[in-house]
Parts: sequence; structure tokens; C-alpha cells
Amino acid sequence: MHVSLSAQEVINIGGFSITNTLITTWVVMTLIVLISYLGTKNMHSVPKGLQNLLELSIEKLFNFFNSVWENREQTKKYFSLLATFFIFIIVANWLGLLIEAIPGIKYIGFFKNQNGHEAFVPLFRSVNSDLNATLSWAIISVFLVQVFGITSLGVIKYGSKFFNFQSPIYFFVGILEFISEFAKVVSFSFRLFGNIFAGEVLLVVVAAIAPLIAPIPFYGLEIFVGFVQALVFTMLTLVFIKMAVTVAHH
Amino acid sequence: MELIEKLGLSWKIILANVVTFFIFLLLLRKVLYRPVLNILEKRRKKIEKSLKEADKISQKLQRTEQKVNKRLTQSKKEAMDIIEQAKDQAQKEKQLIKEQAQEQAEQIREKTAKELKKEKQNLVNEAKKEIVEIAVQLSEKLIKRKIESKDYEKLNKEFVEIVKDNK
Repeated sequence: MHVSLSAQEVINIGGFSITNTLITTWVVMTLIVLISYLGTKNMHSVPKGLQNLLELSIEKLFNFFNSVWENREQTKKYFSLLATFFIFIIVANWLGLLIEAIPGIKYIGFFKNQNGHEAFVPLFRSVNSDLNATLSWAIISVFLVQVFGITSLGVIKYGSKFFNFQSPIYFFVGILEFISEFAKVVSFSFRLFGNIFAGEVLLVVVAAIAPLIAPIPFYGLEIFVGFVQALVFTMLTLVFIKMAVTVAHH
Repeated sequence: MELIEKLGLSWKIILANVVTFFIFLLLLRKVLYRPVLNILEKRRKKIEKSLKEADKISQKLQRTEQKVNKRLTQSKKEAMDIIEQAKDQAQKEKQLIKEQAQEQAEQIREKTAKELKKEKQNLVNEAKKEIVEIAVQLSEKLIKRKIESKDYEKLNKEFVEIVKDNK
């Protein structure tokens, strides 16, 4: 029983190490794009099959975001980013579970000499069980929140949220706000990473203690966790964007 | 720093992830969001239009129904009027015919009565005449038998005179 905290390098191309989570990320993205392409290749006004499923998901997501924004134009503006976050994270989480669940996939890989001893390197690893991945999504989210805040309020107005010299209280509140933006990156990335990585460890441990039947309820739990984490990440991004683009009342 | 090493953090991988994420986002926008949202919007507009049209049609239907109902009640009323008029007419005619019949009956009765009276008068007259004649003959016979005297001629004459006067 071995659980690696970090992703392992599969191949090194000119100093750039391609890890197994990176490979899984690309696989997940390719799958999503492929399925979307197949579903929307020939659009019919009366939907059926895959097109129906895609329309349903997109419409549900749109209405869900719209229930927070209460403004169709605003929802449309930020829909791409939020939907991409949600779809990518949930599919990545669930495919990560499939890697654990389907016997064999976990063991596709090879042995590699690491620091003098042979180590098994699997080819696939659940995307969000690598801090590199979750940190990337967190950075994108928080960075784009700043971009949206600046483009909709202007640099000075948006900056006054962090650097305010009107009174000492506002000054210190601004500094706290500034620090909290970095805290957001940390909390975003560690929340997602912690949940998914813990799920992986849990499944491995349970499977080792009592194989076959015992892990099944835990898979149910992890499916739910995967959904909730995607939802939380998307919702927090949505709320942060909304807070950034609306004028603060001082 | 040991933690970073253990977690395998690497800025190269993060950069690669960020770049692929944005490519992924653009691809999804092209093959998923734009077509699906477009078709949803189109469908929404179509449904809205259809609902509006359905509303219009139902309003039209209501108006037509009202018109038909109005027309129907009007025709009913007209029909009733016609029937009423016809009844009145029939009543009047009946009355008229009845009156005429009564009048005719009256006339016939009167005529008959007159004729009867006349007949009766005739009969009486005839009877009187006959009685007178019979009486005259009778008296003649009586007188002839009883009085064969000189007065006979005179008496006969007187009697005839009286009868003539009486006549």
C-alpha cells in the first residue's frame, strides 16, 4: 500500500517533467471537448441523445448561476469561466474515482529508478489529488476575479478596496482585504486538494482493509464529495466575482 | 520548503496547467457554450412567440364565440317574434271567421224566421178564406133550408155584405 503525496514524473522533455496528473488533465479535457463536439456537431431544434444531455446540463448550470446573478446579461458574461470550472472539476473528480474503481487502470504504468530504488509510476492519477493542479485553478480564479473587478470598476475604484487612506480603520481593513486575496488562493487550492486526496487515501485504505464490498459505500461518498467540491469551487468563484464587480459601500 | 518539495510543487507545471485551462475554456466556448446557449435562446424565443400566438388565437376564438352567441340569441328572439306574430294572426283570423260564421248563422236564422212567419201568415190567410167560404156555404145551405121567405133575398145580401166587410 503506497500513496504518493505528489504526482510522479512520467517523462521529462527538455527539463519539463510531465507528471501523471498532467497527463490525466489532458485526457479529461480532451474527453470533455470530444463529447461536447460530438453532441453539438449536428444541432437539431428538437434535441435528442447527447445533445439533449448537454443542453440539459448547460441550461441547469445557467439557471443556477442566474439565480445568484439575477441578471441574464451578467450571467452570460461570466458563464464560460464558471461552467468550465464546474464541468472540468466534476468530470476530473469522477474520472479520478474511475481510475480507482476500474481494476487495472491504476496499475497501468512502469517502474522507474528513483533515488536509487525502484518505484512504480502509474500513468494516471486523479487530477485534483495533485496540489499543482488545484493551485493552478485557484490562481486562475483569483486572478480573473481581480481582472473582472478592474475592468468593471476601474483601477482606482477597485484598488481603493485594498489601499484606502481615508481613515486608519479603512487602511487596515484594506490591508486585510489584500491579504485575504492571497488567502483565497491557498484556501481554494488546499480545500479541493485536501478533499480529493483524502478521498483517494480513504479508498486505498478501505480497499486494503476489506476489499470488494466494503469500498462501495465509500465510492458513493466520494462521488458526492466530487460533486460538492466542484460546486463549492464554482460557487465561491461566482461570489468573489460578484463581490469584486459591485461597488463597495464605505 | 521541504513541504513544497513533498507536494511536488513546480511553477512549470502550474504554468502549463494555466495555459491548457485557457485553451480548454476557449475550445469549450466554441464547441459547447456558444452553440448550446444559442439554440436554447432560439428555442426560448420560439416558445415565447408560440405562446403569444396561442394567446392571440384563443382571444380570437373567444371573440368569434361571443359573436356567434350574440347572433344565436338574436335569431332565437326573431324566431320567437315570428311565432308570436303568427299566433296573433291566427287568433285574429279565427276570431274573424268565428264572427262571420255567427253573422251568417244569424242571417240564415232571421231569414228562416221571416219565411216561416210569412208562410204562417199565408197559411192563416188561406185558412181564413177557406173557413169563410165554408161558413158562407154552410150559412147559404142553412139559410136556404130555413128561410125560404121574402126576407131571404135581403138577408142573403146583408150576410154577404158582412162577410165581405169582414174579409
